[in-house]
Amino acid sequence: MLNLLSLPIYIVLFITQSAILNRMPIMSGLPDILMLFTIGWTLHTPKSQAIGWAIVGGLIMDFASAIQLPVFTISYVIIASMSLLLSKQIEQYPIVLMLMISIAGTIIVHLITFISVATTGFILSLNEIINIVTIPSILLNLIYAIPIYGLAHELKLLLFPEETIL
Amino acid sequence: MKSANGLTRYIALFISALGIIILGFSGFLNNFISGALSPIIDLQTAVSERYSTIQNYFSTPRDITQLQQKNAELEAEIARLRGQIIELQQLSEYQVLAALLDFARSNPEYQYTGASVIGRDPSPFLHYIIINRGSDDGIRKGMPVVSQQGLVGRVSHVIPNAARVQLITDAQSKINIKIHPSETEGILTGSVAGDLLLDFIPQEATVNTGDLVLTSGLGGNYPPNILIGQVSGVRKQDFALFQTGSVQPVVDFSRLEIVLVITNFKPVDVTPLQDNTNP
Repeated sequence: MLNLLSLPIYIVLFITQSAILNRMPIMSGLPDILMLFTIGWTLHTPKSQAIGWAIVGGLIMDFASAIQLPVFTISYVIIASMSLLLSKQIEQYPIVLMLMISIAGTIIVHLITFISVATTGFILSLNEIINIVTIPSILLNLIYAIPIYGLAHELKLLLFPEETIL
Repeated sequence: MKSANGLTRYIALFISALGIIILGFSGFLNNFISGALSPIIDLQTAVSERYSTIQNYFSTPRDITQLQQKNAELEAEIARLRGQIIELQQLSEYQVLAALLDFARSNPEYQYTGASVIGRDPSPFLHYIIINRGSDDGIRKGMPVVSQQGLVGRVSHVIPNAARVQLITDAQSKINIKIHPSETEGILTGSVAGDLLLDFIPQEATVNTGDLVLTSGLGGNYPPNILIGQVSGVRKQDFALFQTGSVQPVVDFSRLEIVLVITNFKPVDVTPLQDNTNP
């Protein structure tokens, strides 16, 4: 049931990203608030919910994007799994963890996108991508990470009020 | 037992996701998607338009720096209008030729469908926009998209109430162009950074900064004589086969709000003519 609730939340996040935030890039870098929410949600939610929400977010992004392969679904599942794994190891500093996984997550999404684009026979300049896409995207994701973490936290309080807050 | 249940759940989730992806890519979910997407697209249109209104309010010129910027924009406008004069002269020439070649029945005027830009591709690797017109409005894959300034791109994917447009700045975009006044032909490609790069310009051609770049119509993907931009730099090397260069587009892609889709232009698919066999 809660997995169904992820759909409207991710749709609202997608509309915000596509219609507003993508018009405010840094160089060619864009934020990925669906990825950030997936990380934030994974750090707050029961383990059973995390992967399902990551898949929903990834499918929405893949449907909207012109990339041929389901890059976002694969990336988000990897990122959610990584978040689950690390949240068990480092429980004391969830915000630091959020920022660390945001950086790693951006790199994972871009790496898988790069491979996906390369499989279509189009080779992009790795140097150019790192300098004008990945680094600015990391910066933007770090800017949005804390508010999105707060959003996930509030949502967690709303949906699971009886559980201990991380 | 509990972990077995968890594993089953993950497998079920994975299979469901895989199923949705396969059905989506094979087009079986199109009817469902179009129905479900209609309110979402309406909502996205509303959000996008409100954001544009707010952005326009804050970006109205208020001080000297902004007035200077406005001045630069107006100078660019003058350059654009000069280009338009040349373009119109070419159009009248084209009309004469069409009459001479018994193409009188063909209508040189294009039919346009206006559309609002409601979103951008979520991937920073791609330069695509999403518009709020789709196959229900007569939009088809391959149709060219322009703005009042010049060429924007072409429709790459259509659903009933929305479409995705590949911008000319996309790294995988390639356009046959000609440079005015030398009438030199070449290829214009996009890049990840959104820059427009000129290539395949013959070494003997005379190309100068400020020359106009227009679609040539070769390849059948775009109609001829649509303004793209001005040459902003040329690189000529003695050992290279061709000259290269860069182009400043006339369209400000960061502020695209309304675009026009040319609905009566049918792109020519030359794929069957291409020889894909390896030697």
